[in-house]
Amino acid sequence: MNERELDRLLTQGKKEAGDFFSSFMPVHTQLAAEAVSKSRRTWRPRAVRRVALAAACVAAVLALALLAWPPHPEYTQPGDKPSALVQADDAPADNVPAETVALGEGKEFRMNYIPTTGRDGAVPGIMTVLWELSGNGSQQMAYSSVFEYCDTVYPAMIIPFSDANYDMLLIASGDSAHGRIGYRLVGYQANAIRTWWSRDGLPGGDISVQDGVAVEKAADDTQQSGSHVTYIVPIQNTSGALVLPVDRLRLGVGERLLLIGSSADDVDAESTGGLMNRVDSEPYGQAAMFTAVNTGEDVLHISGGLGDNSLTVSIVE
Amino acid sequence: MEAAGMGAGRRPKKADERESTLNYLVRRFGDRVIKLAYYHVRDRYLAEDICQEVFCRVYRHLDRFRGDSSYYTWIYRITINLCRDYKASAYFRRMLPARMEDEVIAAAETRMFEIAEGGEVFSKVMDLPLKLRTVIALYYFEEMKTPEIAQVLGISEENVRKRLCRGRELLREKLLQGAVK
Repeated sequence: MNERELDRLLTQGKKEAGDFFSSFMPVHTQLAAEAVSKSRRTWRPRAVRRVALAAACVAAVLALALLAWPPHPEYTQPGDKPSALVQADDAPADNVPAETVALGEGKEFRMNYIPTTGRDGAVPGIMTVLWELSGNGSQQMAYSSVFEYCDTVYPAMIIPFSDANYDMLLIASGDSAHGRIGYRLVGYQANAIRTWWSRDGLPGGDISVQDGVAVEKAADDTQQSGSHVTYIVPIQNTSGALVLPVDRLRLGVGERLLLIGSSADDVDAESTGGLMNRVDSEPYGQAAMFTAVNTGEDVLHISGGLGDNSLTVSIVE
Repeated sequence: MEAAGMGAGRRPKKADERESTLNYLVRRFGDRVIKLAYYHVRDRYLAEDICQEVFCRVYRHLDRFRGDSSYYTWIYRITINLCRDYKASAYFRRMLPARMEDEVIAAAETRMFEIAEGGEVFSKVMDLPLKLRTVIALYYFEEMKTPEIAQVLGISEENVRKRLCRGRELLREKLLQGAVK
């Protein structure tokens, strides 16, 4: 298909889009009136109402489920506790497994982690809720997600907190074949990364830091090396400039590289040498994932917001 | 793009004037805001919700609109930010336990694809990754120029051109796989 043919099809697509949207265009005057009236009474959109309703249902179901839920042994084993973990709260008032993570300077978060079950009784993932604790004892939900068993590093997400010294990076990795999952909460600032909290359900699961880059490992039968390795590079956008913790990285063939920005910024990257394959999938809307496929030296051109930067990657066997 | 140079400037103060301005903005940009939201969320009803929320914010903040960008850019930026908020809050939906999740997802998919995003080319564009489909849709379907897309999405023009190029490549592959006539 040549360029002209593609242009012709895109013109056809424009007409199709027009036909599609013509079927649900709103009545403008009604829309404006609703916007005004709802704005005056602090209206919340249907989506929010639906989420609120769903949240209420979830809370009720979870409360019932947790009362009868035997804790999964894999997640009740105390693992290696990082120094930032100051206390374990095994029996919180609401029976939800929780731990408190202290970031210093009086800043504390509480992490709930709740195994979720499927119809067959298997544990498909862990629901994680992160609460920001204030000095007066109140808490506010800062983040929540279900980490499902999957064979990729997902979700991985930066959680910026305006009054914390560190931004947070929450990483989950799974092994669907064996029904295992691991997840970690790390904080990073400039070139420093610190693991605040982690819980490994993966054989060989490990996270380390090399030059400000988080290196996530877990056993993987499908890999020749017997494990998969993902380098997670947090990218900060400072006054329009993209700041990377490193400008050079060394990867092995088959290893993965995840560039991740904050939720407010699109991070995009391009392999100029063609030695790394991009994983173009929807979960990485605010991130870019690559797999190293050939040996040599490649340069990733990274863009996000209005800034640009580059990362040189040496790929070895 | 006809709207590109639109409406920089005046700051409406009185309630009547604000409502009049809002009506004008809804008439002028309502369709485009819904389309832009749909390109992000692929759900008609969510897109409509987002559109209403956009104009709620526009109404609330009309007095604070400083006129250093066009209404058009300002409203599109609000839309993009709300869409991103929604995408982030999608994680919240993932809190649903498995037994509820199937039903919720099934209902959403039925609703989402009941109109089947008519047309093979349009549906193939919508199947592109978010970053690429947004740029392709704004450029080819909404006839926006690359500087306008860059301003609306908050990315550089060079980045827009790269995404266009990559989006075309991926779309070509998808179209060839689907053998569109």
